[in-house]
Amino acid sequence: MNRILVVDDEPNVRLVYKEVLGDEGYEVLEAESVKETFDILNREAIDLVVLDIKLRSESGLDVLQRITKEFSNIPVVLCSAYVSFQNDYTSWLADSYIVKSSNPEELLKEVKRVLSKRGKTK
Amino acid sequence: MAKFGENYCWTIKDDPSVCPFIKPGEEHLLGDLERRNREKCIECEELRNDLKKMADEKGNFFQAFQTILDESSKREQTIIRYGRSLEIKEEMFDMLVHLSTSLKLVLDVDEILYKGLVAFTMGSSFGFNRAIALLAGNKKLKGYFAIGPKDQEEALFIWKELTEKNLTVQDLLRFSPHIFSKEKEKFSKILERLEFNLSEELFKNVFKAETILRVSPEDEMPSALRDFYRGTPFWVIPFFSHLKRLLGVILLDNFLTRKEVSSEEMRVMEIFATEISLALERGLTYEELEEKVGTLEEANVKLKEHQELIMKLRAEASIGEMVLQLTHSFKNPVIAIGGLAWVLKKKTTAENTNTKYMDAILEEAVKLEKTLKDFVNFVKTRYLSGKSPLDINKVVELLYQEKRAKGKLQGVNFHLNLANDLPMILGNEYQLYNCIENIVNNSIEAMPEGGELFLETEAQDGFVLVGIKDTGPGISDEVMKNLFQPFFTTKTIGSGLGLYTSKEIIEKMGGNIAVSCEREKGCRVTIMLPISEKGGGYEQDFSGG
Repeated sequence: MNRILVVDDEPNVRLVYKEVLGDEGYEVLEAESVKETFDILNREAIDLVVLDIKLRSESGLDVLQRITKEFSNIPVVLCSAYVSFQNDYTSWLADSYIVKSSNPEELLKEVKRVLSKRGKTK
Repeated sequence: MAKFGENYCWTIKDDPSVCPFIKPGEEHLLGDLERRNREKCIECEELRNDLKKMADEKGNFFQAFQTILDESSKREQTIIRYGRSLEIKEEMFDMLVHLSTSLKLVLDVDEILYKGLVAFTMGSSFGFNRAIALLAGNKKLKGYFAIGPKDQEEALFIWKELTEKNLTVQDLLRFSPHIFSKEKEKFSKILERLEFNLSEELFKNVFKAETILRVSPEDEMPSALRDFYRGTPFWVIPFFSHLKRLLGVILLDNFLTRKEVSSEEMRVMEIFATEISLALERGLTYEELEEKVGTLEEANVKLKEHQELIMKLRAEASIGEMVLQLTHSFKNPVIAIGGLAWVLKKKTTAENTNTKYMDAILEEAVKLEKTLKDFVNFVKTRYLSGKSPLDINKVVELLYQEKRAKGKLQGVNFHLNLANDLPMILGNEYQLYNCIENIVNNSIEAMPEGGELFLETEAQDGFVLVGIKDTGPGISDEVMKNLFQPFFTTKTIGSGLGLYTSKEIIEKMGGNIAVSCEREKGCRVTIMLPISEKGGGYEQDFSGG
């Protein structure tokens, strides 16, 4: 079973992702801050991170940069509320870039695609 | 017949037959012999002849009489000549006084030149036939104003009119804008042709001498002057500022009367020129000053407007940021509501009566999301627009990649035709992407039964063109008219802000958007974007999470 870390500062959004991904058989862990994220990444074996670009006062893009440096084998699906078209080239570091929507199917699709690409499907 | 018997006509009283020079009304001279001798006989040939004969007959005594008579007549001529010269000088002096007084308070260059030229052409002073004023600027002398008749006929007419009206010096020197523009118009073609470099030999000589120069037909001169004066000599009077800067020249000539100018007159002309120079310098300085004050005032107004604009933009930018924050805080709850409804629906069996409520929640969440997206785009366009040089091909290509799959599902085939080596344009990639996306979405929606969609780019006359062409049914004139109005929509789900926002984006970039439609053949939207002249720029980051 793949283990996915969902990083988002909105508990109800995390709930949606946890339900959707959980129903598909993934084990979902949650983090709402940068500190919590790296605590979990250092402690647990994670196969993929679903990362929100904005984490209250902290930036998801900083988290993305640190993950690609310190945990380069873990793929990241970057989420944002709006199309932020090429505004920050850091976002290109992510394996996938999705716009949050009330239809979570796209997230599911991307998670599956990225995991299979990285050969992480267990 | 001067001798009557033993007497001479000039000694006979009260006999009208002896003197044929006494006219009617002068009968008193018959009896008043002394007065007749003074007024008539002194100039009479008979008296001279009589004296000559008497000198021959009776010797030197009468010879002396004759000599005295001749001398007195010569002296009289001299006195008359002096009198006339004095009269002319008085008139000139009078003229100078009037010119000086009348120029004292004048600041208008037109008026100064008018008075100056009138002074030189007026009959009672120099009475030149024509006068032309040329003003200096940009190392050139340019014809500005001229006065005088064009030919003999007009000259006679003018002289007659002036005599009849019996005008005084003051009358003539009074500035008449009407006459000024009439004379200027009359000479306009000549004035246009009279444009010379200050380095021209003729003018170089004048400036070096700093005095009036007489130019003979055989002297070296620019061809425009030779054509104009056609063998008539003319005089060039230079005008200098107190710092010896050349202000202009006046050209004078007597093409009708062929009159020459005495050295005495030249000296007086120089005095006139000094007066005019002073006034001209004052007038030109005033004109320059006025212009500078005008420029400054204009700059001041612009500065104020600019400041106001900056204030407005700042206020709008903070409004924009605020609204963006607000919509952002709406987005996550909408995602949570929609997402949870989706999860709930998935976990509920189809028979459950609550399914339709979950559907309704989902549908509303989708609508809300769409409205938020449009609203965010609208706000970003309206209030926030960081620009940087960009390659439109990249934007169009990305859009093509993104939309192709969606289009295919609906039977719309995408065709991409990008021009090579397109120049950069200055804009906001995010905005442009949204703008073209709006149009592409409309085109796709216009072809529910499928069709072809062409995306093209090309460079043309300082613009980069993006064409979006579909093979849909086209649109009605009514729709066409309102296409770019805010909150206009034909869709059931839509805010009506999409195309309006697109137009705003393009126009803010200094571009243009045009739509042409043909019934049953489809529409073509052409976006024209100005080519960026310089690189650089900045980019604002509005990424949201």
